[in-house]
Amino acid sequence: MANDIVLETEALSKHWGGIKALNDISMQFRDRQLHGVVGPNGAGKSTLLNMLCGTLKPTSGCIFHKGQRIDTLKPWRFVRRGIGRSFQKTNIYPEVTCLENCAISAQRRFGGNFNLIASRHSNKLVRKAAEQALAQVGLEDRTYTLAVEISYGEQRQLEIAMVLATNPCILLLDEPMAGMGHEESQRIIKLLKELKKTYCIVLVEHDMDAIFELSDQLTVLDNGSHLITGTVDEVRADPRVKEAYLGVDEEQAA
Amino acid sequence: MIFEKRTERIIVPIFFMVALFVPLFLDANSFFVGKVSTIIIMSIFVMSLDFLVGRVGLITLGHALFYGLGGYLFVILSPEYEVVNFWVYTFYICIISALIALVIGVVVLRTTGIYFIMITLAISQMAFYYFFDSLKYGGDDGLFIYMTPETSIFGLSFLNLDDPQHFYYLALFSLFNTLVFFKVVLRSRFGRIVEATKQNPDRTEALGYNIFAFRLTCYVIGSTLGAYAGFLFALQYSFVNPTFLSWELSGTALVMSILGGLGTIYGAILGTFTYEGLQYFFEHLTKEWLLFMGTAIIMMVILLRKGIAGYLEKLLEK
Amino acid sequence: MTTELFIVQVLNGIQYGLLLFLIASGLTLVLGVMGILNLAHGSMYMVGAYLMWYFVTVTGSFTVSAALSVTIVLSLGILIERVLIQRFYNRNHLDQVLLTIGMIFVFNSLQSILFGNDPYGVSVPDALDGGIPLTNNSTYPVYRIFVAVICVGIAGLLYFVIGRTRLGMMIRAGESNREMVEALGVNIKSLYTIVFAFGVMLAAIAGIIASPVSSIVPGMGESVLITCFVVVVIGGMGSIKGAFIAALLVGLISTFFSILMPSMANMIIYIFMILVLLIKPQGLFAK
Repeated sequence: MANDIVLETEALSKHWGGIKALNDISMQFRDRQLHGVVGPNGAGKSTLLNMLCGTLKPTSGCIFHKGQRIDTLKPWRFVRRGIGRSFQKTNIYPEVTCLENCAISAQRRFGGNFNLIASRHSNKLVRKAAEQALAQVGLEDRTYTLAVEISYGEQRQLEIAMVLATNPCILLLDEPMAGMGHEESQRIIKLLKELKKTYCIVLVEHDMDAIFELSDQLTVLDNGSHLITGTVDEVRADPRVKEAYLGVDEEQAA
Repeated sequence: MIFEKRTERIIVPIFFMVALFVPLFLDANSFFVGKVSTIIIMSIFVMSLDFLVGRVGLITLGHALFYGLGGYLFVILSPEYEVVNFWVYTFYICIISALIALVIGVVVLRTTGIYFIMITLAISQMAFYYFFDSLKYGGDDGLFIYMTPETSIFGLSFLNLDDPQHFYYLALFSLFNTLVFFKVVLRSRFGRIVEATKQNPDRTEALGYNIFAFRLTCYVIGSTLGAYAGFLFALQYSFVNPTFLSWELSGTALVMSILGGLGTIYGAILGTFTYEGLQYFFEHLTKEWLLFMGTAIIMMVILLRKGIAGYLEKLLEK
Repeated sequence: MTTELFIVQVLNGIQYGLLLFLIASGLTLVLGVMGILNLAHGSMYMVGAYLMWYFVTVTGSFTVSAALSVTIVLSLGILIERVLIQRFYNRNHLDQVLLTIGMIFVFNSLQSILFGNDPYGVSVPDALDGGIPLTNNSTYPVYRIFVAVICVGIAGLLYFVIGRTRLGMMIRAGESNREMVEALGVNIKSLYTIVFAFGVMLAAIAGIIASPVSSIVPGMGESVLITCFVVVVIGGMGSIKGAFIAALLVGLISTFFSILMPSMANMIIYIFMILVLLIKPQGLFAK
């Protein structure tokens, strides 16, 4: 079982001055599982994700990828190890086509990134990978549309397609369903169900129904601290979760 | 096709056709040929800046550093009373400039935004004062070149740099190559990532690209071509002095590239010719041409937001 | 170096540094509060000095001339902000660079049209002419002390206005969050006009009080501008406190190097700035 663990954090903390955004988090993420992370606003979910993908350096603690310590590496090294992430705020290349967005993501794997002469369109493999990623999220009919012109929900789908195009083995998804309509959400849920058969997925999401439906493991963060990790049923039954979570739900409803 | 826009496919051939044939009908020693050669050299410089600022997103106020470097390297490297080979020296100057750009790039690319603008300015000012205060390199008078390089390749010589018309065609040939080179680079796989880095640096890094390496490569390319332009200018006028390195030159080149249409590459030619043309016109009109020049720049930045190329594209693209 | 020379140089360095602060503080305010990169800031220093020379020649009175010059520059600042700068708050730094380069051209040529290109000087007012004895056989000019005192006074005033008053509170809030200030019902347009005109006035005051100790020449604006940018960058963009400390450092360093290593004097501040940026890429007192 133990060699299933592809990503692991050990006593991970991030402090901003005196504020503890994340405190002493030890988690394990397994291959071919979807690991949901939930918690009220400000619980440290995004901070955790930012550290797992290397853009934020921990104040203390370590991150291991397949047993090797990686938290000191530059962010782009994380991607090369197969750790891909999507962003909560749509973070695409607005001025180019959807295909080009994915081609930019895919190109790295095929080399020749410092080739100053060969046309960017000359590598058919890049194009194929990009098209495949678009097809995976169901954006085939938007291939030649500028990214700025597609709907918000579609941009969220493109966001995921771009991560897939990097050919990761670990997917860090930051609220992929935020702002999506019901139909689009259903599509993403279906996609994630498919993806988790082959990838390790860390999913941060506000949509509780989706999280409960998808998660193999579920972690609840509260105020930067680890509250509980377990299966969906275990988490649901835990009284502390209700306390931490329901309070915020009421607040949000208000 | 490396020229993707219809406007480029119209403007670029027209420009080079006119530029190619007009001098044939003029006296080789005429003022026009010499003046236009200078403007063509300036266009190369502005184009290299346009690449950095408009396409890579590196707003430098110190590009003149490399213009001056090209000029000074030529004078410093060549023995005083010996004729050197043009092609060999072009190679030397480009390699040394590229190495210097690499070192400077590693330093300046650590910063971004206004700090990048300021640190590039500071480094070029440093070089300015280094040559300005240096007795060895002629101080503010600069240095003179006594021997014109010869241009033979394998014993064959078809270019006489003392002949203004020959020099004109060398400059034009260089400009054409620079334009094609930038267009090829921008279309390449490398260019794809450069474009991505400009549009969204954070995302590009999050996709696994070492954006520092891409920016550094671009910085070296742009700077080297800027140095080549400075070398040509020093060659044309047989001297080099600290004004080659002045921040006013960096600023003027920036104005030219924006006037032409930032990031369009071919716009650098339009911007440089328009600016120099306006200056020539106002200079002949009045002693206080700077007033008109300044007003023209202010009007332009308010009204013509995408430069001349942007305006033409609005007319010519469907 | 004798102790005496050392003391004189320290005083000169401080006085030069304070003058730099006066100009740089306006620059850093405009940059920090409004996000405007104003290359024409140095031109206002030049305008102040030329106006001062003109009015002193006409009226003969130092105080009257200073008052007239300050008033004119203040109005000029308001005019420029309303007509030009206001259009550029949402534009990028590049457009701002272009606009302000155009403004430099215009100011330089107006200077040449109105005042000619000869170097000028303003004589020290009688009341401040003379020296304070340093040792038995040397004195230090009173006027230079006066310049330093004025600068320190203005620095104190700035510190008070920004730290303690309602205007200062709005300025500080405007730096961090423009929307919030607007939500509080502050008229951000007027606030910006005030800050810009005020910043420009500081540069002009520097030009005015420096006129008796430095010559008034074409191009004086640009050379001081770049030095002030160095100050602003070393101090950290938008930080008044940073600008103050950086200005004194730059003043002292360049004064001492012009005595000790003249060949390095012009380069040293740029080297210093690059070193600072390598260690702290956001300047010494970055926010």
